Amino acid sequence: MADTTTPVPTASTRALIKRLEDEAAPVRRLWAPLARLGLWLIFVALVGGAVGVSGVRPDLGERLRDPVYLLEITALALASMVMATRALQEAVPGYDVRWPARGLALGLVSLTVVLWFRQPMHGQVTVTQFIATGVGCAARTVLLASLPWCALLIGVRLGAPLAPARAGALAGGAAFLMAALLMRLVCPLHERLHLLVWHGLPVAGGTALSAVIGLVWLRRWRARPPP
Amino acid sequence: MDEENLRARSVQRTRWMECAQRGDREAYGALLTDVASPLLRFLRRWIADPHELEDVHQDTLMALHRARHTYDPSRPFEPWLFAIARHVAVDHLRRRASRTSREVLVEALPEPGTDADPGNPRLEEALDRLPPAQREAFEMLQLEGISVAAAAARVGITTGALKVRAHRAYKALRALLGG
Repeated sequence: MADTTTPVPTASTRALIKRLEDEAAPVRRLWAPLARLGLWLIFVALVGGAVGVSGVRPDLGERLRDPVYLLEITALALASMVMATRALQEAVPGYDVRWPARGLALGLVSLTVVLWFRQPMHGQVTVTQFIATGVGCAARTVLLASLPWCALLIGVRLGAPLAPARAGALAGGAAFLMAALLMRLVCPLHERLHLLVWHGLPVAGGTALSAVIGLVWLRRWRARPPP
Repeated sequence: MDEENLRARSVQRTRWMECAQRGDREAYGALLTDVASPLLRFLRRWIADPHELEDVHQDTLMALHRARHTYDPSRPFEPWLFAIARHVAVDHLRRRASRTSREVLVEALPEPGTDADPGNPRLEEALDRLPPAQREAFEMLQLEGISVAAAAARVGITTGALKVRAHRAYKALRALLGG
């Protein structure tokens, strides 16, 4: 039979409560996830602006009239924003998410991968050419992701993430998907292997690395005072 | 307690927390006192040992204190509170499981070597360099020859914790004696 008696805190717990009460300094309340998402999108817009200034692919106007290309960049943008929102919600304990965010993000990422698989393969490209053209794309993806990634990790760290690895993975996924989207506005290549290896793998690697960083760096909220 | 009372209490906790975020000590004290018993009841479902329960209860209150800036008064208070409590309890159980698996490794304590002669000056010198708790564990088990259970009871710790101390002492002594 379950014990239904009301337990009483011990004397040392009551002393702790008194001490915590004495330490109750005003705190700066964490912004709501959507407000922090808005701020993050400003960082993304800054990076997007820099991409626009440095030059987009020459056929962008033409590509934007292609519904498959539009579907691809829309899926990348939505997946990135869904993951960013979830990462920021992870910073709030017990945040009740009433929509299937993870399923939606996974679906959108899968859609992008399917669309990349539907791109033609250029068999005449040598391995050296494949690497020479691809390394630049991978490096630029990492570069473009770095600012939104750091901003998102800091945004999560300001809270109290109870699942730090998951929060880190979501932050990394969001930043690298946004970078992959920006790279699709820059890189003129429409080749299946190029997209999967040099645009897709940095997203997967960045997400995994971010999960590890999250596990190490985001779990320490219990050891530091609130802002 | 009926539905309406529960809702009224939840609203009251939300108000207290909102005031606590602004630095109101009295409201914060009232909130912590109010949630202490429900938290204890919640944690008791996970942890049976009263000493462990007290530790986890206090850890939960500390975690609540550290995370109080993340509470949004427009959302219900209890899901926030119990999510933190569940996290602290699970974290504690995970750490305990990992500690237990380490303790299994030292289940069989090593036999004392020839150096474990109380009159050996090298051993005395090496023992002086050990942390007091490790030295005490070694002396009780190897020099006095008492059982692990009796030694643990004498210093008021679990047998597992005593074995860990003894194991560390052996390792340190082996290094110091060049064995």
